[in-house]
Amino acid sequence: MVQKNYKIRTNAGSTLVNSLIAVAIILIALIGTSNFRYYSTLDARKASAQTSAARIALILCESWRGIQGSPSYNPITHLGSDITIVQSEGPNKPDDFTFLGSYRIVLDEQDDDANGADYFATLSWKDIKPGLRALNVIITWAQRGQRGFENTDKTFTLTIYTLT
Amino acid sequence: MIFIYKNLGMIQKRLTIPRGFTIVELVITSVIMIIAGSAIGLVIVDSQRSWSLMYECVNSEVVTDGYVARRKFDSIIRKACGESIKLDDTGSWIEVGYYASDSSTAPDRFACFYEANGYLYVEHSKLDYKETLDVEAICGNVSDCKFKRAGRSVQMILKLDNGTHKNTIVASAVTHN
Repeated sequence: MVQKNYKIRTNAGSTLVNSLIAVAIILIALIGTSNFRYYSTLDARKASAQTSAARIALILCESWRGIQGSPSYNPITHLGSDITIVQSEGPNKPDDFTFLGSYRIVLDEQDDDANGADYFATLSWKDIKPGLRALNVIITWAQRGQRGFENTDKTFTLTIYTLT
Repeated sequence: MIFIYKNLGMIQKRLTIPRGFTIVELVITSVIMIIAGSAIGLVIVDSQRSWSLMYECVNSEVVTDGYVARRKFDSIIRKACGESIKLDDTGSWIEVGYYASDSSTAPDRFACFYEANGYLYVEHSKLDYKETLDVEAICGNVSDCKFKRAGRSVQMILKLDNGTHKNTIVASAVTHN
């Protein structure tokens, strides 16, 4: 009789605590998966913004280089008819360079594309030696796509050289 | 004797205890699971939507088309001769003379970039006879394409739109000489 009672006790079902622990483990796994997807999405967006920033820096540098780094270069006149580019505040130029201008550039308006972001560019130049000029472009932007210079948190710098 | 009797009573009592969940336990568990499940479900659905949107933004046709267009533009302009650039007044096409191979001592090919019917084309032709050698469709989904020139450098501002996503590509290259 006592042995039978013992067997019945060992076959008891799971308790409420067991169930809650199981649910908690499943929820933690689900939250972990969601976090992974969230951060991978966020990083893809950051990478896309950085690629755009590098392209903007390149188009500014190379169009300026096309006219031998002339101090009269004006990106608004040159590119303003096809992309949004206006004079604005921008990142600080390197100490020993001569300031050319700071601009706000928008490739895709946020209303049209979730990737749209403000890019702030500062152009400056320096004569390395007679006949050789360094052209510097610094681009800064907000990685999460917010508007405004105060929200910028990432910078890309490109320096190229040209014969004058 | 009394001990055995008490034990028997206890055994009997234990055998009559209902095993498994009570209705109260089930209700409490169900409520907790519904609340937690709904919250997690919302997060997962939102995450899935954002994921799909970003996946499209990173891998959609307008993005891959943009990479191809930029690469092609870059490779041809960087081997072109700066003096041979012809740019349309409205910037809708550009023609450059380029060196067909490493052994070419002078530009011996023309390449003309232009947009037509939503495609970006490059037409290759011989320099001397203006004989068309090949017309290559570089990419589709083109809503606008403008070319610009600043001295020896050429810029392309390409706007792609597939109806769902838009992508503006800016590309620039300095000619070979």
